[in-house]
Parts: sequence; C-alpha cells; structure tokens
Amino acid sequence: MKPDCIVHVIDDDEAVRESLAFLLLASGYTARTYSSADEFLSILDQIAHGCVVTDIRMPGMDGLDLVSHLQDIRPVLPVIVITGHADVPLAVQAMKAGARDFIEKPFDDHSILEAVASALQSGDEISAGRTPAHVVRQRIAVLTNRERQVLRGLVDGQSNKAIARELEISPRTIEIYRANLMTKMDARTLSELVRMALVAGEQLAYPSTPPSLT
Amino acid sequence: MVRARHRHLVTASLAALGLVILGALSRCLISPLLGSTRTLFLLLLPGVLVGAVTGGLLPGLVAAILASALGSLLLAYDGAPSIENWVETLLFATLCVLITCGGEWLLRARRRTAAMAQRILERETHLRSILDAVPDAIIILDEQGIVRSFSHAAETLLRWNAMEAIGVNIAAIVPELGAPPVLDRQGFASTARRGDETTIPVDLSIGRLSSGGRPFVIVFLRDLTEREEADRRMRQLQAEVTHISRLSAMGEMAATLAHELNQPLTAITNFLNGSRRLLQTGSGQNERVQEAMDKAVAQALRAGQIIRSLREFVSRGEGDLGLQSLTALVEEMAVLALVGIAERGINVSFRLDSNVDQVIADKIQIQQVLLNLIRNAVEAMEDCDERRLVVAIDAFEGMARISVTDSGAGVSPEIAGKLFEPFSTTKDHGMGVGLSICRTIVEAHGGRIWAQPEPEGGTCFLFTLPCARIEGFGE
Repeated sequence: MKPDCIVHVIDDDEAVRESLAFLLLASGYTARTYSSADEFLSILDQIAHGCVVTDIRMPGMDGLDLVSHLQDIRPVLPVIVITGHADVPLAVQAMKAGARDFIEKPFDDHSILEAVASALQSGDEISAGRTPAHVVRQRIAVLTNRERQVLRGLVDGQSNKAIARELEISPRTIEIYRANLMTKMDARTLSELVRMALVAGEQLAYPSTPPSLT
Repeated sequence: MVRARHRHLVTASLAALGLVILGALSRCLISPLLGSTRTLFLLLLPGVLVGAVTGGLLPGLVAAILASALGSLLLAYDGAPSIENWVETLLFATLCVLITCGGEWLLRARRRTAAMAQRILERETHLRSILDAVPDAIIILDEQGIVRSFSHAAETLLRWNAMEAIGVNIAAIVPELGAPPVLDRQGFASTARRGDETTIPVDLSIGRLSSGGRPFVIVFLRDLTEREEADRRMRQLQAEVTHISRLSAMGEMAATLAHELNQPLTAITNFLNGSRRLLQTGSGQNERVQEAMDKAVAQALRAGQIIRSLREFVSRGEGDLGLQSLTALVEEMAVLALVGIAERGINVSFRLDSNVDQVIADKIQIQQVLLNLIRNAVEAMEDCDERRLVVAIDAFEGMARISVTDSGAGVSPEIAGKLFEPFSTTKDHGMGVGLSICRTIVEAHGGRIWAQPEPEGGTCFLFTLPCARIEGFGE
C-alpha cells in the first residue's frame, strides 16, 4: 500500500463508486466511498490527506459546490471531478472552482489513475508534473488571433455554438479550431487545455498585435 | 296592366254589343213565327249579362243602352208606340242597370280575391326562399311520420329529390326516427340514409308545430361530417404534438440519457480494469475478480435495460427560441391538452396575468412541458370526486411563473424527492421521463421547475421562464 494515499470517492451511483473503489484498490490505493457530498463533509475533520474524486450531479450539494467549498476550507485537498455530462462550460466551471482535473465518464484506468497519482503528490511535486507557466505563454503566443478568440470563448465557458455565433463562423469551424488548439498547446485532454488557458488568462484577454490572418 | 284592362273592357263591350245585336236579329227572325212581341226583351238580355259579368260597369251599360234602344225601336216598329211599351222599355233598362251593377260588384270581388291570392303566393315564395336559405335541412312530417315538406337544403344534404321524398316514411331517411317519431329532442346525433344509399352523420333537432288544426313534426338535420372532420383533425393534431413531444423528448433527453448510460459503462470499465490489474499482479485474488465480474455483468444488463426503454424514441432537430406570448401559448396548448377530457367532469380554470406575457422560449418545448403537466394533473385526478385544474401565470422573482394545480391525491413522500429524476414513475405505462424532460427543457430556458403540495390536497407544479418584459412588475 502506498502511504497517505487514501482516495475519497463521492458518487450517488452505488455501482460507479464501488467499481471505482475496486479499481483503485486493485491499483494499490485505499479508497473510501460516500454517497453524497454531505456524507463526506460530515467526516472531513477525520481526514488528514488524500484526494477526492467526486461526481457533479448529485442530490443535495452537487460536485461543483463541493469543490468551491473545499477550496475555502481545505485548499490543500485536491479534487478530481468526474461527470457523465461532460461539456466545455462545465469543465471550465469545475477548473475555475478549483478542481485539479476534470474527467469524463466513462474513463479508462490510465486517465483516472494518472489524475489520482498526480493529485496525491504534494506541493512542488504538483507543479513539477505540470507545464510551466512560461511554456504555456510561449505556446499561446504562437496561436493565431482566431484560435485565441476560440480559446477565450472556451475558457469563458461558452459552447461551440455560442462562440460560433459571436465570431460569426460555423460551429464546424470552431471544432477545427479546437483540434488545432489541442495540438498547438500540446494538450492531451480538455481539462489540460483549460488549465493552461487559465494560467495564461491575462495574455488571452488582449489580442496580440499584429493580428494574424486566419 | 292598364292597357290590358282597357283591351279587356273593349273586348267585353264588343262581345256584349254583338250579342245584343244578335239577340235583336234573332227576334226579327223569330217574331213572325210567334206573332207576339212578349219575348222581345228576353232575347236582348244575354248580351247585357255577358257585358256586365265579363266587363263590369262600362260594357254592361253600353250593352244596356243599345239593348234598350234597339228594344224600343223594335217595339215601335212592331206596333204603335203606347204607354205600355214605354213602361216595358223602362223596366228593361232598369233591370239592365241592376244587372250591370251586380256584374261590376262581382268583378271587383273577383279582382280582390285574385290580388289576395297573389299576395299569399308572394309570401309563400318569400317564406320558401327563407327556408331554403336555412343551412339546416328541414323536413316536415305528419303524425304518421310521412314526409310532407322537404327543404332545398334537405335535398342537397340528403340527395333526395323533394318530389320523391314527399310521401315517404321518415324511417326510410332517418331510421332512428321510425314510427312513431320521437318528439321534442334537441341536438342528438344520428345517421341519415341518403338518396344514393350512402349514410352521413347528422345532428337532429325535432319540434312540433300545428297547421290548420293538424299536428306536424318538424325535423332539423345538420351535417356532422364537417364537425367530425374537424374533430378528427383535432385528434390528428394532438397525436402529432404528442409525437413531436416524443421526438423532442429524445433530443432533450440526450444529455440525461447519456448520463444514465455512462453510469453503468463507467462501472463496467472500472470493474474490468480493476480485475485485469489484479490478474496481472497474479495476487491470486480470484474471488475478488469473480465478484467484480458479476458486478460488471449486472451493470451491462442495467445499460441494456436503459437502451430497451429508449427504443421507441427517435432523435429530432433543434428547437427555435423566439419571443412568445405566454398567454397565447398557454391557451393554445390548453385547447389541445384538454381535448377529450371535458367528459371527465374536470373543472378547468385559468388565471392568466396579462402583465406577464412576453417570454423568450421554444414554443413547442414549453407547450410540451405544459402538456406533460396538464396531462399528469388530469391523470392524478382520475380517482377523485372533486376535480379542479387551475392553470395560472404570474410574476415571481422577476420571472414569469406558470403553475398547474390539481386537486388530486397528491404525491407520495417516497416519490416526492425524485419527481424530476428520470425513470421514476408511479404509472403503469410510460417511462417516467416526462418530468425529467420538463426539467431539462425548463432549465435549458434558464428557468426552474418544482412541485409543492396544495394545502387542501393535490399538487401544484410550477416553473419559471425569463421574461422579455413584465409590465408593472415590482410596483
């Protein structure tokens, strides 16, 4: 058993939380399951370390509220959000609220285990596993103006359609820009892209000059 | 008219004069045989009579004067004029005048009768044309149920010729009215047999009337074909809306359904990945792997169950948001939603605040929510004695709030918490997705939907929509 590696799984669906606990157990972690955010919060005092994996849509307090709440009272406790309702605005919302990762259900074992492993590393180790801010800025600098506009739209939590309307181009084109963004930003997942965009938030706010032709 | 009368007078006068002359000539021929003067005036009389009766005063008088003059001349010619002859001539002249007066009186009476007959004929034509203009077919029967009158509309509607229909027993046309005819019934539906052997649905009204002291039965028939057609179209429209709502439901449900499917898929993936890891490490935990496999199978079956429930659904296109009049939307929907429930004895009332009207919404989707809520309300009251349904619109926290309240049995506590969760239902039929869809729709519009129990029993479902404009709100 890895030390200090208790994973707290919160999901209102019994099969999901049990199966996730089983997977974690098989991977050498200790998992504890909770059927609601409130159940978890009631024993929060007894928890020293570890990480939290939570669903979003749950009766009572939902996953996003839990992330914000934990950010206020236990900012050191990393939270991974898993959801079946994955879309960009929700991912952005979760990342902005302070979630470390956002994973879409169903997920393969590598993505969840990597996220959990990364979350369980503490302090400096966390940022070591991440793309440094200056690298992110370099990558953003090479984006075209249009790509930057699309990325800003994504970070603002807008849907493809809304961005398309604003930029007066078709939603299909937005998808192409998104794919380009993933490549140029070297992001494997959407949450990685959003995280990088959040790091470089200010840079995105003002389009660089001169505007490139798109 | 005047010229015709003049011509008639001249003809009558000439005929009278001719007859008078003919009478005089006859007298001349006959008198030698008789040797007497006594029959002289009798032969002149027919001319006067004809003049008076056919032409009235003028031809009568002309004939009388000529006859008197001729008679007097002939008398004078026959013998020496004597006082007796003069008296006789005077008497004859007086008689002629009296006959002429009588003839004139008769003529006037005849004219009056003719004028009256003309007026009656005109009035009858007038009434007839009014009756023919009545869109309802009218059949008048005698006590035995024999057709006595058959209106123009009846001819058109029933494709019978009036001449053929008159005299036929009504049972041949409306079998339900077979002898003895049913009386004083208003507005009942029946079937009529047409002249061409086809049948049509008709609405019958029957009344009594008496004419010339004889009782008659009057039957009004109204064609129900159009109304039935309208009803049929209404039902078709309703079916279409229901169909659209199902199509729409699928689209709206996509997110919820994806989630519902993702749950078991997530569990299966986890159980399998976990099992593989255990097997890879070769830790010999076969029992745990088996247990995980069993659970994965159960989850796969759960996913299959969801797919099965969805089979009847199909996808649909995107709805359009637009500025909508909420009152119009509600009223339009209510017409459709309440079709066919009038006979269930439900007291439906609307409390629509006209200040809260314009909303930005997808009309069909909001109507679907309303349809769902109204239908639910109607179903909830199925076993209740008191059935009240209130649909209301008011302003609430700066939004438009629509509520559907029933007087049903209310929601049981165990279901109340997950009313809007998919696949939770208390009904024998249905997937239990209706309210879940409603929530999806309302939330997509930026509103909220919830339910609350009514103090006197029953449930109130409420939802909010962003207002385009609320007049007088906040005052």
